[in-house]
Amino acid sequence: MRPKKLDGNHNLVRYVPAARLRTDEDGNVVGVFGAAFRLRDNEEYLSATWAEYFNDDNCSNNVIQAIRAIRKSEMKPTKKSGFAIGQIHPIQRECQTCSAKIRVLHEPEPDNDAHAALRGWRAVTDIVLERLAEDAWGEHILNADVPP
Amino acid sequence: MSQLESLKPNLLYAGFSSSTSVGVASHALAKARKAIDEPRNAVIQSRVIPMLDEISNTPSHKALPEKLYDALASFKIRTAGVARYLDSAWRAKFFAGLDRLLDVEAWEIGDSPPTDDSFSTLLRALILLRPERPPGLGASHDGKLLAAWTVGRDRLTLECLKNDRVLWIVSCSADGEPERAAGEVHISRLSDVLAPYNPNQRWFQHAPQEARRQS
Repeated sequence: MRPKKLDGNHNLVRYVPAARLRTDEDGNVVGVFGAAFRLRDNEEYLSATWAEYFNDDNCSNNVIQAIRAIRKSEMKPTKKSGFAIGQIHPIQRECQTCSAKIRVLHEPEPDNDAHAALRGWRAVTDIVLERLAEDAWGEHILNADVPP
Repeated sequence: MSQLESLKPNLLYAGFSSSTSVGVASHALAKARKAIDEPRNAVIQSRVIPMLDEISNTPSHKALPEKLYDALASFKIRTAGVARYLDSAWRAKFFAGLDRLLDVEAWEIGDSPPTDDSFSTLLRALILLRPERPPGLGASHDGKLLAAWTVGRDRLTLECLKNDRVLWIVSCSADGEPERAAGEVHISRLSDVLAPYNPNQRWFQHAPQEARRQS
């Protein structure tokens, strides 16, 4: 079965380790670093969790369920980590500024049925990653702030 | 003799280079040391202990908490070495930032701890820029340190590469219009390339409380 292309109005949740959360000099979290969206050498696509998979009318509930799904996966978020939340269309639009054409596909994984793959991500430049961290994918929530 | 020789490759067996199994590797090394400490094994002590020492002293075989501890100690010692350039209150905040960044509870299995090369670049850049406010610290998955100053929506990010080179990214508003710029330079040119964005007034000075709350 071909992976389903996700609706541009839907939201993606990406796990952000504590070291990629942007802080001020006192350690208060003020955002995420663009490096939170950088691929590792062995990754073919950027991973995220599709919030609307959980099919709740309330967007916030979908995001919370997505975070719970990430917690149940092999990822095992640490106490001090967080999650970046962004809408698909604005993310794709920002990536087009560096001519990166991003396809966002629902590709379930054994440990996360709501897993989404952002394909074509290798073409996204560092400056665009930083812009995503500022705007399109800049909304964040701390793991500690989401109830179990 | 052949059994003794074969011990070393066994201890180096797959996984010792993998970050997910470094804890197992350390445990195996400790067990091996305990076994050969038995008096009856005196003969092999002289041959095996040097091999174990060699293995456990190889950085890639250290457990993650040990790597983070070593990195933290190394970074603080290096900073102390240039203490005369840094105000003591500034240094205390910077150390607190390093403590937070290299806290094992906050660290991700699979990430490389920040490298000495990257820290050298960061430290030299800070001595050259002399910001009144220390940066917020972060790290990329491959061990590059990130330094951030944020005031409202104005952001300056430095990614510290090796050999005193930095990737800088600026995002700010100029005359009400958003402006963004980025580049890679040697730290000796960093002040010059940032000058048009007035970093001292925009980011490096202690900002009014109100602006900080909005960030």
